[in-house]
Amino acid sequence: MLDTTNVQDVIFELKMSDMESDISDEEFHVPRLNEDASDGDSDKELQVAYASGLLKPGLVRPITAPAPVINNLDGLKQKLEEIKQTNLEWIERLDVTVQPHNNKENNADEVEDGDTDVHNDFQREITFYEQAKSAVIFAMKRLHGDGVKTKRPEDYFAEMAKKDDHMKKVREKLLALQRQRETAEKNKTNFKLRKYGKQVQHSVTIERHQKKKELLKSVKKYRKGQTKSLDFLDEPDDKQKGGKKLSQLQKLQQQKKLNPKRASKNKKYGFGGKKRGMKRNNNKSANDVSGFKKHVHSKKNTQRPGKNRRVQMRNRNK
Amino acid sequence: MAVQRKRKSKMSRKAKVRKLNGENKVENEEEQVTNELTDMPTVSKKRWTNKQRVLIFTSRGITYKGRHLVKDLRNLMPHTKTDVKMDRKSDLLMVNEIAEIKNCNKCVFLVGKKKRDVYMWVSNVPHGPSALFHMEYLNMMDELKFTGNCLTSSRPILSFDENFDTTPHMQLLKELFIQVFGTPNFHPKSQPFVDHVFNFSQRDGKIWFRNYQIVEENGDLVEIGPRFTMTLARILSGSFGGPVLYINPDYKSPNLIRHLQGKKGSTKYVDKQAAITRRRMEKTDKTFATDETDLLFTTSTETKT
Repeated sequence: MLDTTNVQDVIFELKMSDMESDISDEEFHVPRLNEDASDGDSDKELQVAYASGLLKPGLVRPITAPAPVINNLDGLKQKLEEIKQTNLEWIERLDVTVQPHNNKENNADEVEDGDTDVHNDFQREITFYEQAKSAVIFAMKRLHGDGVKTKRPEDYFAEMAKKDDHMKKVREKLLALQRQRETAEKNKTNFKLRKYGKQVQHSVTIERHQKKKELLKSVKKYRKGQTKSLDFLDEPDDKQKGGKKLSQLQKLQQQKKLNPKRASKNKKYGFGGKKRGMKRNNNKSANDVSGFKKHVHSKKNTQRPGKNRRVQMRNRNK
Repeated sequence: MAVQRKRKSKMSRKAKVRKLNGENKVENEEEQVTNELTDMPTVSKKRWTNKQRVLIFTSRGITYKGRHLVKDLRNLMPHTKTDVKMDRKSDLLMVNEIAEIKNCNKCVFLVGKKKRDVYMWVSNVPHGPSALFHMEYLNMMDELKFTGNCLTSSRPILSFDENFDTTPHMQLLKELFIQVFGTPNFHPKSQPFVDHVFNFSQRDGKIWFRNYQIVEENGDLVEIGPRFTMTLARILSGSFGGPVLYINPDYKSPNLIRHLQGKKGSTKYVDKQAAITRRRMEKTDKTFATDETDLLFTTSTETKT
């Protein structure tokens, strides 16, 4: 004996699938082609398939029908003929169609194979800009040819699309942006200069100390009678063998040879630099969730018990 | 014009009154007085041939972006009229009647759905065709990133890319756009001079709209706004009705897109559970190889402790 209820279910599911395709579309009235007749799955066939074991409830899943393809070429052409304004001159319509070769001349380096990435905002806007530009150049030539005035004279005042107060805001924003950029640049150069100046100053003081030390040493030696000459009192020449004077920074670089132990420790623990704000969170540390312990930090049941519950508990305490 | 007509009718009434009173002498003084502004023949007289009037309005439940778009388009296009937001959503044919009452032969009707989606109908009113678009990426003229400016009602150049000539439905759309967005020559409210471009181009199955100011006539442009993209859904042969001429096969309704997006996320939990079970299955129960004889002398008491 055949279990008909299951077959019914299957049929129902199939029909549901057809309905779903309608729901997924917009609420606008569109004539839909009724396709389930052409599908070829009659009730009898389904019953037979079920009896033979080919059909099981789990095997059937709803498939949304593809939207019907309508492209009535004749109708479109006819409509176009109907609404065309053939009696009007170009000046009445001012439309320009930009041809691709026309476009490519201007920006040969921008467009590769006439194909640009739509999701690249900058590239996309550039192509739009180029299109509008070539349209403007074409239209202006034609308008000038017809003797139409296109340029607004300086003393022609009329209502603008954006009012004066809005344009003031725009100007202020542009100025603010420019100012921001300038200050950022200035800060950057200042920072670099400061760093350099500090280094130079440091080297100068070190050198001075060293000189003093040496002088004292030589004086001591002279006092003890180890040396007879008083050459050390003369200004020593800063000149190298080549005869070129060393800059303060170069001297510093020459001098600065730390002992290897100190160097390795500096490398390990760090030396100098800004201490301020080291313990503060930054973008990376805020995203780091390695310290999160589920059993410690996860949300406990903080929900307040219901009214009845609370009353019961209060009574129990009494 | 209206003022002129009014004046005339007033004069004729006065003349009539004079006739009735039997005063036949005509006061020449009053006849000769002319107002330079009102009596001047209008520039557009007899030269305004392309009489397009566009009704731009919205349905109720439109988002603020749709509302601002209407405001911007009205600001830029002098040949437009507007009406109150339409209450009824289902009866689109009502729009035709409203347009007729407003004496308009073109209509741009924005429909807001679900408080987030904006659709636009562009229609040639009595006889069609009409096209439905889904609007995305709306940017308004009020935004400060658009630094250009133009006269309120100067005529725009309409720039189309080559895709508008390839297929019949795109050609039809181009014709429709020219008639709707182009300001007619010598329209009484329009300004002379050409100082902005409406740019339509097709990329990625969408039509992208841009509005640029012409700073220099050699092609130096600055964007004015608004910006938007239109995804064609369908073209109907009538105005807001009639047989379907074209359905865009690539169009996916935002509802469907959201539905698919949701579905994509919904399998996350199931996938995770499946992975866990798979890992458990792969884990072997076997430990180190043991000799059974090792357990030979373990008694039950020892195991207990």
